[in-house]
Order: sequence, then C-alpha cells, then structure tokens
Amino acid sequence: MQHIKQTVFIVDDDEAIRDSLGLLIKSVGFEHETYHNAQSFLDNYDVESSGCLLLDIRMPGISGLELQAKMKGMSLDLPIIFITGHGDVTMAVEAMKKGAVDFFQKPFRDQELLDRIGQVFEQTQCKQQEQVEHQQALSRLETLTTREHEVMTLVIEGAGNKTIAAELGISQRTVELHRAHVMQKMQTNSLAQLVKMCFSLEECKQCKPIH
Amino acid sequence: MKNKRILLLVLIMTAIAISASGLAITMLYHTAIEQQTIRLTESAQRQVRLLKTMSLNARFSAESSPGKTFADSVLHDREAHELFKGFGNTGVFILAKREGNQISFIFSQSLPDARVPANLAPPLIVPLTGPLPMQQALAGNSGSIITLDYRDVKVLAAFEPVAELNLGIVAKMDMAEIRKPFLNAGISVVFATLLLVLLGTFLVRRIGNPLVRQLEENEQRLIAILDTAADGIITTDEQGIIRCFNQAAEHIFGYSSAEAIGNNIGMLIAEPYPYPLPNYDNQNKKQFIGNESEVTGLHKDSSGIPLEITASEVQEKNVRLRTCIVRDITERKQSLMALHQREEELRLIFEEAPVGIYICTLNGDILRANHTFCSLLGYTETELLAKHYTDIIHSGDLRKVETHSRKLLVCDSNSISLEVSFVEKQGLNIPCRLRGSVIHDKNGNPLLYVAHIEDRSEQLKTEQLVREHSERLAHVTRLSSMGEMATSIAHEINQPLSAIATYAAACQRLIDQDQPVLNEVPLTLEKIRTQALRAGDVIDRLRKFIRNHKSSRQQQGCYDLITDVISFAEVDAQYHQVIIHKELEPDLPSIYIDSVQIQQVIINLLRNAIDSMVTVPHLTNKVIRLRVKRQRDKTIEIAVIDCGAGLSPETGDQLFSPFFTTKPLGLGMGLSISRSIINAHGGQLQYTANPEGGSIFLFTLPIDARKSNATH
Repeated sequence: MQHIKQTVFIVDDDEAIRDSLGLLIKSVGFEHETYHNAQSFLDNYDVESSGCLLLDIRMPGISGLELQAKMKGMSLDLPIIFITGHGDVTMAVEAMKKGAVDFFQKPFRDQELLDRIGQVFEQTQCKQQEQVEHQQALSRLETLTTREHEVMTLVIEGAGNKTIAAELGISQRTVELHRAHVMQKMQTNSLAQLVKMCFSLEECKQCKPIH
Repeated sequence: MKNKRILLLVLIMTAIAISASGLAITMLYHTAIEQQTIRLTESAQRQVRLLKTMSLNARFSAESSPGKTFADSVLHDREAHELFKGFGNTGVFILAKREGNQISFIFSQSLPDARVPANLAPPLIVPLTGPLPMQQALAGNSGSIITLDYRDVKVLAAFEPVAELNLGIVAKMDMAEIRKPFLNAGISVVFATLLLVLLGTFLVRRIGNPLVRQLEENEQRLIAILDTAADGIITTDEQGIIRCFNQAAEHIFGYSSAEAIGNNIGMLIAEPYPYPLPNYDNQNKKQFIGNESEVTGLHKDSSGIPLEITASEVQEKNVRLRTCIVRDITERKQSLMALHQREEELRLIFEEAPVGIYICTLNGDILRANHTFCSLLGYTETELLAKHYTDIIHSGDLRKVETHSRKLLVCDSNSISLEVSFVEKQGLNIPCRLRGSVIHDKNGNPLLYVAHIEDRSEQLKTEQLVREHSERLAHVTRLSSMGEMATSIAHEINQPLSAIATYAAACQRLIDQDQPVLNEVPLTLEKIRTQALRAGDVIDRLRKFIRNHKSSRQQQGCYDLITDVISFAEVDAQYHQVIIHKELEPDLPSIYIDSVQIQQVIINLLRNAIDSMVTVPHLTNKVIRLRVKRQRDKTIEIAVIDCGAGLSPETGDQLFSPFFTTKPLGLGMGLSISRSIINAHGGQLQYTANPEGGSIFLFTLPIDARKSNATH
C-alpha cells in the first residue's frame, strides 16, 4: 500500500498552545503546520494536502465553528479535531454534529490526542486508498462501450447471459464476448469483485460527485 | 418810615434847641430888665439927693445972697441935665412939681422942647392922681414900674419923690430899647439852630446811612441764615418767652413764628424738660446749657417729637437771651432703633449660630467667641477670650492657618476654607472646617479676622462609614462581575496550563525516545516556565481585583492603567471573540486615582460592551474602541465605544439606577457603582448612543494639576 504525506494543521490564536502542540506532534514524527487564525490557514491551505486539522473553537475573527462551515462550503474534506476550552461543550457538540472527528477539552492527555491523530491518519490513508481504487475503477468504467456498460449493469443485477441477450436483443455469444471484455477492462477476475467495485462507485455517486 | 422818623427826630431836636435858647434869652432879658430897673432907681435917687442938696444950698445962699433962689438952682440943674445925654437912646429924667392938684413938669429930656427954658415953656399940666410914675412919685411913693407913659409907649420907669420940695423925679427908659438886643439874639439863635440842624441832618444822611444799611444787611443775612438753617433755632428771654422762631422750628413744631413768638417755650416741650422753668439753678443750667440733651417736644397737634436741644446763653446788656438749637431726631431715633434691632439680630445670629464663630485681631488675640464655639472647645467665654488662636489650633495645623491667613490679607480673596484640628480644653483634637474672612475698615485696611468653625467629627465619621459601605459594595460588585467572568478567567488560566501540559508531554517523548532528541528540551522547559508565570499572572490580577482593599489613591500613569485593565478585560473579550481596540493619545499625563476602582469601572464598561455585542447575531466585526484623550489640559476622557445592540431610550434613562439591569443574571449594580466611583473622583460618567450603532459610555477624570507630568 502506498503511503501518502499527511500533515497536522494547527490553528489556534494562542501562541503557546500552538507551539506546544507543534512540538508534541513533531516529537512523534508527524508533520505539522501552525496558523494563528482561520484566515491565514485558508489562505495557505493546499487543497491537495491531507492530514487533519487541530482547530481551536474560540478565536477572534473567524471562529473554529465558522471555519468548519466555510470548509464544508468549499468542500475541503479535512478531518477536524476540535480543541476546546473549559465549558465549551455545547459548541463542541455542535461541531461534532457538523462532522468533526473529535473534540478535546484543554488540558488534554497527549497520548489520547496523538492516538486520535494516528487513527485519523490511518482512516485518511484507507480512504485515500479507496479513493485511488475508486478512481481506477471509474477510469476503467469509462473505457467500456455503451453495450458493454449495459451488459455489465445487467450482470451486476444478477441476470444470466440468456436473459441479457433477450433483454438487449443480441445473441448469447455476443453477450459472453462483451462480458469478457468488461471483465478485462475492469481488471477483475471474479464477478464478486466487479459487483463490489460497481457498488462502491454507485455509493460514491450518491454521496458526492467525484470529478 | 425811616425817613419820617428821622424827620420827626430832627423836628424835635430843633424844637428843643429853640426852646432852650428861647428860655436862656428870656432869662437874660429879665435879668437885664432888673438891672435897668436898679440903674434907673439909682439914677432917680441920685437926682433926688442932688436936688435936696441944691435946695439946702439955695436956702443957705438966700440967707447970704438973696438974689439967688431955688428956681435958679433948678435951672442949674436943668442946664446940667441938658449936657447929660441921658442913658441909652431913650433913657430920660423927668422932674415935676406938685402944684395944687396938678402936676407941673419942670423939665423933661424926652420933651421935644427940652432945650426951651422952663420958664418960657408952657407947663404941661396933668392931674395929680393916676397910674403914671410921676403921679406915683408925687404921691410920695418910690419904686419902679413897667407901664405905658403919656405917649402910650411901654416904658420901664423908676420914680422917687422929693417930699420937701414937692417935687417928683422919674427915670425912665423905653422897653423896646431893652428888648431889642434880645430879640436880635433870639432870631440869630433860631437861624443858627436851623442851620446846625440842617447840617446835622445832612451829615446823618451822609455818614449814618451806610452804617444803617450795613446793619440792615447783616440783619437780613442773619434772618436768611436763621430761616435756611436745617435746625430749628429759637431764641427766648430769661423767662422763656420766645423772641425768635425760624422756619425750621416752624416745620418741626407746626406753629408759625407769629403763633410762637411771645409765648413761653414750655408749650413746645413735654415734661420733664427743665429748661422753661424761669428760676433754674446754676447746677441745672450746666446740665443742658451748652450741652446737647434729648427731650420730647410737643407738636402743635400734641404729638411728641424726639428732639435734640443745644441751648446757649448770651448776655446782652441787661437781658440774658437763650438760644436753643432744636433738631428733630425722629429719623435718627428710628434708624438708631433699626440699628439696635439689627445689632440684636446679628448678636442672636452670632450667638445662636449652629457653627462656632470667633473673631480675633490680626495678631491673633480672640476678641469674641459665640456660645457654640465655647461649648465646642469646652471653655467658658471668659477663658476663651484670654486665649490666642495658637492656643486652640493644633500645632501641626498652625503653619497652614498662618499661610492661609496671610493669603487672605494679601490677596483679594474674600474667604478661605481649610481643614483644621482644634484642641479642646481636655486636650482632645476636634477635626473642623474653618472658613475665615477679614473685616476691613472704610479705607480697605484689614481690621479683624472672622472664623466660622464647623465641627466635622460627625461628618467625618459618616463619610468614613459611607466610604466603607461603598467600598464593600464595590467589592461585592467586583466579585459579582468576576463571577460573570469566571468562564473567561478559567479559560485564560486553562490556556497556559494546557500549553504547559503539552510542552511537558512533548519533552517527555523527546527524552523517552530510543535516541533521545534533547536539543529542544531546554528551550521548551523555559517555555513551560513562561506559561506557568502567565497563569500565575492571571491569578494574581484576579486576586488583586477581587480582594477587599482599602480605598487609596495614588499617582498612576494613563498607559499603565489602560494596559493593566486591557490585559484583564481581554480575557473576557477574547473568550467572546471581541477585539478591544486601544486609541490612546500620545503624552497622556498621570492621574491621581484609586486604580482598582477605576479599573473596575473600565472593566464594567468593557464587559457591558462585550455583552451587548455578543447578543447581536452574525456580527462580524466585534470591535470595542477604548479611546483615551486629554481634554483641554483639565481632564482625561475615557470612552468605551461598542457597536453592539445599543440601548432603547427608556433604558437609557434608568441606566444608572441601582438594581436596574438588562442582563438575565446581572445584579444591576455595575453602572450605579461605576458612576459613584467616578463622581467620587471628581469626574462624570455619561451614556450616549453611538451614531454608528451601539453605545458610547464616556467618563472624565480630573488631572491633578500639581502632580501631572507626562508619562511616556
């Protein structure tokens, strides 16, 4: 499996918090970037980069929650771990509802935070892997002709060659030929793999459009 | 009138002169007649003796020489007489002989034919008896007579008989001749008198008139003075009868001068004035003659008039005249009474004043002290009046009092006011407020000090109590606002604590590695220390802010004050994502304040501003402006300007009332306390709406001129 570069983005208005978090993250060998407010993070963020965002909820100017909403609006899919001060549980809950990965109340246990970051990184890694596969499947799918696509759709629905032939009004032989092409183009050996691949593509299509 | 009098006088004088002269002349005339009578008588007698001698001679001669007769002798006599011219112009001798019952004149010098020899001349025959002197003489009488003679001319005649010869001799003289010189003298006297009178009249007119005129003028002047004199002038004689009564006196008494003159002065004076008594004794006289005395006069309408009388006496020949100068002193009495009343009022005010008052000389000797002041210090008035002001003022305050007193003398300031401790009889100090002023004389020279003393003991106690209460209240309010800020403060402490925990964890990891990376550890430890101190700072500020402190003012730079307060307020501001923007003028002075209290005010205003901004949804630019500027070198103006929800006009009105609040959990004391703190510092706290939305809370603090110096 291919490892991708993951960075911990730290956005906090308090310099000491920023600095100490950076050091902690550095001590376990993670990459990190620190920003003193939301705007400078947005200005410098590279959409291609991945990792996670350690975000302070209370900040002057754009607050943590506002940044979360902004990123959602900009379809920036960066997992967010909120770091909250004392008594901001209400806001933390709201953040979680809006899709934050987790929240830590200051002062937090370093191990827990690092573990969580590790998990997020793994998830990102997996997700990244899936995404790569998905992309591949998609590109393979695009190589199919219309007839092949039609045949594949019917195959996935569990139709037999005969049924397909009848459905499409072509001969069984032709169906078999198309089927072989599909399996070849989609680079699968088994029908089960093809079904899984198509489901995942379908799922993603429903979740969010991938360009 | 005057001329008539003079004329009359002249006539009388003339008459007197003429009468006197006439009398003298008449007397002389009578004397002259007597002398003439004697002379005539002597002449007649001499003739008689002569005739007698001749007759004797004739008788003797007849014996010796008979040729010679008596007739011859007579003839001789007649001849002798012819040579005798007689006396005077008219004096003559007449010789006559009695012949029977007839008289025969032998000769008469007066006869026109006297030179004719008697024998040749027919004898004049007259009867023997009759009034004629010859008839008397022939009747044997001798004497003198004034009578008419045969010519019917009045004559003076002396007659003498020669009885032996039956002869009579008469010597006579015309009266006219005797009278004539006297008549002439009389006429001369009359003329001379008239001439003298005319001359006298002329001289009187010439010399006397100017004198008279001068006298008249003097008199008129005197009358004018009398009539225009402001005081009544009354002149009386010894019995008190009024002789002169001027216009002012008429005005005072209501009598006209005509009514008054001739009456006794007693009618003008009510008892018990002794003046009109005619027989006053000398002692009594001394009491009022020449001295002013006050009596009650009587007006014509019987009302009493208070008068002041000065009487004096003038001896004028035999008369003693008294002059009374009378002054109506009704007004003076009234004003005296008013003055007296006023004095009494002032005395009462002085004595009964609730504040102590004392008056002292410029040297500091106490002249008067009122009851309140005496009882304040526990002295009797007599004891206090023997004191010097340095005895009753605390020695520590003397210099201050002296300085201010001098200022009062030198400057034009009307009064001074200062806090002074007085020392009462037992030696205890009484804190007082002294208000001093100076009494000046007419020329503006200072005379006396007047000091008003207000006992401040109770007031100071009350003030102390109020101060303690307000301090306690301020403290409670601070605690309350700290309660409201608790979350923010916890957050502020939590930040460094989190950082410390994180730094520590990182260090541990760096050290615990198989190959420890130690190069960053020292720096991190330093950062940990910094953060620990940072947390400590927050707690320290918090402790300072909420501790129950005694109010104490000191000089504080504006910058330090604002920096302190912002670092504290920012905790809350940051927590609520509000930015506090400082706008400080350069060269702000330092101010004399109680920092904690002023910080409390600023924090209260900032917190209100934060709260008002938090309630506004979707407010993007949450900025509070804290503006500090100097106002005309007199005050510092500190404004907290927010762009929050602002206040409704109704709210604005009761903003500073205690227990008024717009916050669900607010005490409602914040602004009320803030205002009292600012007022106690001599400033003002106001609210205005921000024209750009939101509120402006603005307060001023006076710059203490003595202590102000720019801080940078």
